[in-house]
Order: sequence, then structure tokens, then C-alpha cells
Amino acid sequence: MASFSSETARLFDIQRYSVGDGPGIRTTVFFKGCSLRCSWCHNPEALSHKIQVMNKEGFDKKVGFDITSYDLMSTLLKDISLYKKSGGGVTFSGGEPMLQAAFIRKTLIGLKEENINTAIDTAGNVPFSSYESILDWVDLFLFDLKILSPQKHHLYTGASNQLILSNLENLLKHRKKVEIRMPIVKGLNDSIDDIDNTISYLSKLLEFGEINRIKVLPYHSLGQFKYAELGFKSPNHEAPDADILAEYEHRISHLFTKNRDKKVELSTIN
Amino acid sequence: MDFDSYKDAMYNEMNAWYKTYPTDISELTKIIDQKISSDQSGYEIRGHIYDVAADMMEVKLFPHCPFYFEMASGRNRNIWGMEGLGGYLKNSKAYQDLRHGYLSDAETMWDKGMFIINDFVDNDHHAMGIDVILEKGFKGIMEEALSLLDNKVLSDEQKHWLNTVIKGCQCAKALGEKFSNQAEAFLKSELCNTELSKKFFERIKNTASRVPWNAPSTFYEAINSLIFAREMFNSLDGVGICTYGRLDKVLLPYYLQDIETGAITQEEAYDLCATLISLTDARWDYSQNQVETSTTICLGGLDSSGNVIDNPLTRLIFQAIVDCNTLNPKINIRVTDQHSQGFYDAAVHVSRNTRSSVSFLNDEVIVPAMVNGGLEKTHALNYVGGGCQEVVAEGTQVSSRACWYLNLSRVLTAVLGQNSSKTYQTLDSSSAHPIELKDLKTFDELYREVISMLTAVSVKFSEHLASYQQHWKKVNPAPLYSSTLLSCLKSATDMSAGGAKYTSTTFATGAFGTLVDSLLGIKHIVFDEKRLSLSEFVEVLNSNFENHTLLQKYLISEIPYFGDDSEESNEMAARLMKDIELLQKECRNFADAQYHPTFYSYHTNIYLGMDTPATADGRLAGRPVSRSVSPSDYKGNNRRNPATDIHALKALDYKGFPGAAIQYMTLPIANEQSDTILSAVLQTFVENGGSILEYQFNDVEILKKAQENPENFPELSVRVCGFSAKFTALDKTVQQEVIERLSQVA
Ligand code: SF4
Repeated sequence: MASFSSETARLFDIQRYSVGDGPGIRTTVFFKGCSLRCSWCHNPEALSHKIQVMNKEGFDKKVGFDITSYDLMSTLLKDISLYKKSGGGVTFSGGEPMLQAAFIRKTLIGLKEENINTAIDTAGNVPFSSYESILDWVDLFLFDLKILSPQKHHLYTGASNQLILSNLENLLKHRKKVEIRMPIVKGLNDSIDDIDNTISYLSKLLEFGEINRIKVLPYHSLGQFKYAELGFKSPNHEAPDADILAEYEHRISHLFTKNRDKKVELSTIN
Repeated sequence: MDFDSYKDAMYNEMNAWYKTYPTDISELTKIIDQKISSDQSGYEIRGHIYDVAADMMEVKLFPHCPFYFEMASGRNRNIWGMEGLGGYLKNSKAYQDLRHGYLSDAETMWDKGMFIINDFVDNDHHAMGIDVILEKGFKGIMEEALSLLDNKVLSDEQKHWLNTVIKGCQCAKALGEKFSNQAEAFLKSELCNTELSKKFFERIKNTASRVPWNAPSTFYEAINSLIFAREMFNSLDGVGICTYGRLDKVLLPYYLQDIETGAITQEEAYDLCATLISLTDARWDYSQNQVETSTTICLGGLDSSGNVIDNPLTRLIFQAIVDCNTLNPKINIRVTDQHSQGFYDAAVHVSRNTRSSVSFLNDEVIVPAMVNGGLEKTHALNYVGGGCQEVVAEGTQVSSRACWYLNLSRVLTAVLGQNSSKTYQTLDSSSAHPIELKDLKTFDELYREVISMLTAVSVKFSEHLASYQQHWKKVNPAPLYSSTLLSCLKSATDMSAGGAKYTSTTFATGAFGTLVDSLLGIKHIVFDEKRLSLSEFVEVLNSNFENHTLLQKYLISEIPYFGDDSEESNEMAARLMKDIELLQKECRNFADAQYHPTFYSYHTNIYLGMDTPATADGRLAGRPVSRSVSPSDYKGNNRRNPATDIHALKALDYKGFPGAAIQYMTLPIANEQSDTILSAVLQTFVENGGSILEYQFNDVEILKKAQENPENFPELSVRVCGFSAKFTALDKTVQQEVIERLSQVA
């Protein structure tokens, strides 16, 4: 595995005025590098930790840059008023931000000194010790729940889901606020079996702690063009059928009506 | 609420009546023609207009409208003033000769695309002195005029003027009586066919002959005084009074008093507010192209002692705006750092839930800016938005701002020698002369050329305009309106003769973003990266980027640009803004007052762009230039968003812009744009020193469909630039511009 510095981070983007990655107005920091290879990934530039070259409309553009915690903080602090007034803050996303946990830890401490709300958008495939190192400074985890079957998970993401699921359970046990994000891709995780597995897993999770929100994210092909710009072959996936999405939603809502004491928000992003 | 029960009837009655506009007033104008002798002043002619109106002009009541205001002045339905009887002077040969002279001068003076010019005076965008009307009534104004005539040493001109004011006041009295009489007659007619119409006619019968001749004493009388007075000035004085003023400030004492005494219930007050809000839509015909109602109301802000205005009436009117969901009036909401979170949330909620154009005006910047422009603070604190948002101090200031639009980016193209022969001819060689591009060795040298050209253009423009404006009082004075403004009555001087406490002029500047981006483009390509020499670059621009599409794309997507919040673009914008402020101080108007720098565009950015060659920011020839002081809409949103736009404000100083500066923020329709989020954006806008903000959200996909099949979308509305319109009734060019602009953020 590449070695990561606590002094600088390798990012591929910083998105200000981000309104879909946690509550309020946020700045989302996209870390470069990921320990999974989801076949439907719409951020191909996030996968490799290396600086790459993308051809955009005839220009070669570097993808990826290194930034010090100090410089990153000064960008993040620009919008502190927007965070405070909207109940927003900063989200670390990627790629897999947790691969650069040492850097994140340092930045999180800085953010908490300013009383800024923090969120980590993670796919979960890192040792739990990485999470432990930052737990105290994170307000919300946005945690991907992709495929429940370990074999299928391995087939479509390149890794087993064992570590991922145990991390999710552990975060809940540590009483951390967690929003679960479920990408649904046609043919990958949209069978009745997949739904059954997901529901029974969610009901098990409820025993560990409180799930803050569940977001169902149907596959979209918006990031496709970026594969070509990087010189890669685009994956071929499709959005799930509407009735499958409806079934997911129905079953999840039902689960939570049964557990009335567990308050959860359910939303589908289209 | 009762309003719902009479709303449809009111709309139908008005539609039926206004369909017959313009009414025939040839009998009236014939009499004015006869009365005029060859040596009569504008004041005396205006006096004849008041007299004839008092004697012969019809008034019109609607059975299901509680207010009395409509005067059959011979105007067209979609004109708010300045036509018919009131336009008698403006349509006279004397005025029109000056206007044509001015316009044809301007055409020979400036290269195409430099200015859009409509007239030599701004007859529109005025704000009447509401406090005077409410405190004194027209009777009080007349008494003051009479006492001046008795007690003061006056010139003949002053005497003529005061006598005209008196005639105007008497006309107001006569018109009020006409309304009363008509109500009395209608009460006995078949028009009085519902309980409500009976109630309305009864009230009008008992009120109209007293108010606004006398000062109003109830909430109902006060609202009607505002409507009546505005209508009278618009119909007879040849000026456009755009705003009903600060409703929640001026009407509050009447509201509180009537609620306390039980003279009115909250529901009844709501009905009156909802009727006022709906009045414009009911009267105008939106199926015509680009309907401009120039009607605004103003809410919130600070009062003259600096106290926050956010009261039960503010919230009642907010509610009425949302419930009525009309296209007009335009809503101007003044905000300060003292207003509560609840006020911000409610104000943003209004913006998201009405079709009207809603602007937020930042008192924290606009008031100090007006003070910097020479206004006393108490007067500055009483500002309102004019036709769209052009600020003007109500009751003390006459401002001419929205008649002349300067395209900043066109000044740079002129410096670069792109179609600039007329402009150089106009500016004598001492102030600006064509330059050899190869002689410019540094970016700073080029920048200085741009500023000196801009200075020369501005000064020349102001001198030329003042030479025409000095004739204003002869050709279109407005004594009755003037008598409500501070200083006019005391000095017996019309506002058109500079009689108001403040007489301010400006050309509205736009395309700031295009200019900043073009300067950055040249700096990078020519001076920093040395990809091309300046002459070579200008050749590329003159070829409209033919065979240079890569360079064009590079300019659009790779160079820093205004709004991306980079250090480089912020520095350039701040430097340019300061210089624009300072150079306009060298301009003076006909009343010898300094210009009030301001940024507005309306939709002139489209038309100015049509005559602007390709620019160094990658914009193709003929495409729209950027709006007002907003970042360019055609730079995409890769590096720009509301957070960068608003943070970039920190570098800029709008306190040097007493005419204020409008920033548009185009947002995609998305559920995430909640009240909380937009309220945070607005509060941060205020904190960071912005001047005026307007949110524009539209669903671009629906607009595209409407463009293809307009028949399916007759009611679809859109916020354009300071005004809302039925989308399908808009000029095709404007439709296209709106769609392209929105596509950038979708
Ligand atoms: S975890 Fe996210 S970034 Fe990583 S491969 Fe999967 S989808 Fe892409």
C-alpha cells in the first residue's frame, strides 16, 4: 500500500457549496486513492493515489494535487459562516479518505477547534484502528453499504465485505452517528435476495446503535465520460428498475415502523 | 379570507375595462391645445393638464376592488405613466426634438455596443414623498404653497410653479370627489350586485372625497392614499413613480391603531394587502412581449432612527405575497445584520415561493454608500428600490439611473482597436487616442489605458448628458410629484430643475465580469504565459476565434475568472471596482452633483453583447456580456458556486456605490436549496459586504420544452433580470439567453 503523509494530503477536488454530502452547506474534500474497485464507480479519477493526466476537451489536465493541512484549512475556513448559518460543515470523501487518516486526524482537530461540523464519507475497507484514531472529532459517518453477499461483493468491488461490515457495526457500537448510503445497480444488488439480505442486515444493525438516515442511491451514468478522459474503458451498468427501488424503500420504511423508537430518515436520490 | 371571494371578480372586471385602453382623450387634449399660448412654460402647460383632468377626465371604480385609483388618462394598458394626458408634454415637439437630438448625437458619438441609451432624462424610477402625502394630504401641500406665495419673495418662475402645484392639489380634490360621486351612483345601479360591492362602494363614497385631499386616518385610507397618489403622478405628471414604498414602515401606525380600536380585523388588513399585491397583475396584460410594470414594494430594513423593521405587518405582507403568487409587484426586501434568523428565513421563503422578482438589499452597505454619495444618514435610511432595484431615497432624492447602460467590456475592446473609430473621434485626443498595441510592454500599461479610456468616455458622456438635461424643467416638469419631495416646495423649484434635496445621475454599468475576465485573459496569454503578442491576440479576437477554438476553450476553462474566488481574480476585481468608483466621481450632472456609481444591467447585457466583438475571456462576438456585477454566466460552474461568489465579495468594496449594485444568483431548482440553506447564503452575503442579491431558480428542462411548444406553457413564468415575465411572451433572444444561462448551473 502507498504510504500516506500526515503533512500533506493527496486530493483530486475540493467542492465548496456542497449540499448533498451531509447536513447544510458543506465543503467536500475528495481524497485520491481507494482500496476498492467498484465496477460502477463514477469517480474513476479517485481510484489511484497517483497523480494522473486527463484529456479534457483537447487539454491535458493533471488530476490530483497535494495540499498541506494549513492550506486546506484556509480553504475550508472561507465558508465557515455558511456552515454555521446552515448547520453544515466539512465532509471528507473520496476515493477512500480513511486511507489518509493521519492527515485527516490533524485537520479534524483544527476544524473542531473552530467548532465546525465534520463528516466522513467512507466505503469502510480500512482497519478499524484508522477510525478509532479520529472518532472523537467526527460528527457523522456517511457509510456505504453496497452488496451483502461476500462473494458478489468481492466480484464487483475487488474485496470482501467482512471488514467493511464489522467497521460499520463497530461505529454504531461506539454510538457514532451514521448515515447509510446504498448504491443500487441493476443486476448487481437489485434481486429480491439482495433486498432480503439487506433488510435482515439492517435489522441486525439496529441492535448495535442508531442509524441516522438511509439514502438509496440508484446508479446513474453521469461519471461515465471521465473513464474515456482518463483513457480507460467505461463500465457498462444500468439504473435499477423503479419497482425495485420502490420495494427497497417500502421494506426499509416497514422495518423502521416496526422499530418505532429508532428514528430514521429515508431518502432516495434520483 | 374574503380576498379569495372577490379576487376572480376583480380580475375579470379589470380585464374587461383595460381591454378598452387607450381611451379616447382627444376632447381633453384639444382643450389643452387651445389654452396654450406660444410663450408658456412647462409649468403652466402642466397646470392646464391638471385643470382639464379635474374638469373632464373620467375615473373608474370596479365593483369588486376596495380601492379607488383608476383614471382614464388615455394611457395604453401596459404603460404605467408618461402617456395620455400625463404624456402631453413628453410627446410634444419640444421634448421629442430634444430626445431625438440626444439619441442621434449619441449614435454618432459612441461605437455600437458601448451604451444603450433610452432618453435624455430618466422619467421613470421615481419615488414619491410618501410621508408628506400621509401627513399633510394634498390639502396641506396646497396650504403650504399658498402661504409661500403670500409670504415669500419669489421669482415669476417660482410663482408659476407654486400656482401649478396648487392646481395639482385642487385636481386631486376634484378627482376624489369624482370617485365619491361615482360610488354613490354605482350604489344605486346594477353594478352593485353583491354584498361586497355594496360594502366597497359605501366605503369609497364616504372616503374618496376626503382622502387623500386630507391626510388619511385609517389603515384603509392610508393604503388608498398611496395607490391614488402614485396613480395621479403617473397619469398626469408625466413621470413613472415605480414604488408603493416601504409598506411595513409607513402603514404600521395605522395598522396598529386600527387593530387596537377594533376598526379593522387582521383578516381585513390581510385582504387589503392581498388586493394591493394583486392589483398590478390584474391591470396588466402579460401576453404581450416583455411587459415592464415598473412596480415595486419595499419591506424590512431600518427606520430613520436605525431601528429594525420586522413587525406583524411585515409578516402579513410576506404571507399575502406568497398566497397571491403574482408576477408583480417586484419585491424589495431590505436586510441588515440586526434582523433575526426568523426574518431571514421568512424573507427567503418569500423568494422561493412567489413568481415575482424578489431582491434583497443590504442596508449595511447601501446606507453607508449613500452617505458616501453625500446623503444625510436619515435620508439614506429611507431608501427604496425604484423600477427594479435602483435605490433612491424616498422623499428626498430624484435619481436618474436606469436610462443609460454602459458596457464596461466594450471599453476594453475599444482600447484594443476593435471597432472604435467613433469613440476616438468623440474623445478629443488629449483624453484618449488610439494606441499602438506593440508599445504596451506590461499588463499594467494596458490596464492604465483601459482606465483612462473609461474615464474619458464617462466624463464625455456626463457632459453631453448634462447639456441636454438642463432643459428638463422646460419640457417635462412634474410639480405635483415634486411638491412631495424635500426642498422642492420650500424652494418653489421643480425636481426637474434640481429642486429636490438630492439630484443624482448615473449611467448603469454592466459587464463587469466580462471585463475582469478579459483582462485576466490578456494578462495570462500575452504577458504571463507569452503565448501570443497582444496584436496577435487581437487578431484572433477579430477573427472571432476562427481556427483558435482550443485557445477559446483554454480562456473559458483554464484562466482564473471573476467569481472563482481565486486570489488573482479577486485582486483584479477589487482594483477595477475601486477605479470605476473613483473615475465616476469626475462626472457631474446638470444639477452639478457628482455621479453615483452603480451596477445594473436589466437585460441590456444581451443587446450590448450583440454589438460587442469577441472578448479576451473566450466569449464569441455577439454573445451576451455578463450581467451587472455578477460573474459571467457562460464560464460554467466548475470552479464557481454560491460559496465562491459570496466569498469573493470580501475583496470588494461596494460602499463606494451609492446607486448600489445587483448580483444575480442563478440556482438550479433542487429540493436541497432549502430555506435554511438560502437564508445562510443571504446572511453571509450581508456579512461579506454585498449590495443587492436576487435569487433566480428555474427548471431549465421545462423552459426548453416551453420554447418548443409555447402553446402548452401559457402560464410559465421566469425571473429575467430584476423582473419576472411570462416565459413564452418574452422575446426569443431573451428566452434563449435565460436557457443558456440556466444550463450552466443545471
Ligand atoms: S469505494 Fe467509492 S471511490 Fe472507491 S471504487 Fe467504490 S465507488 Fe469508487
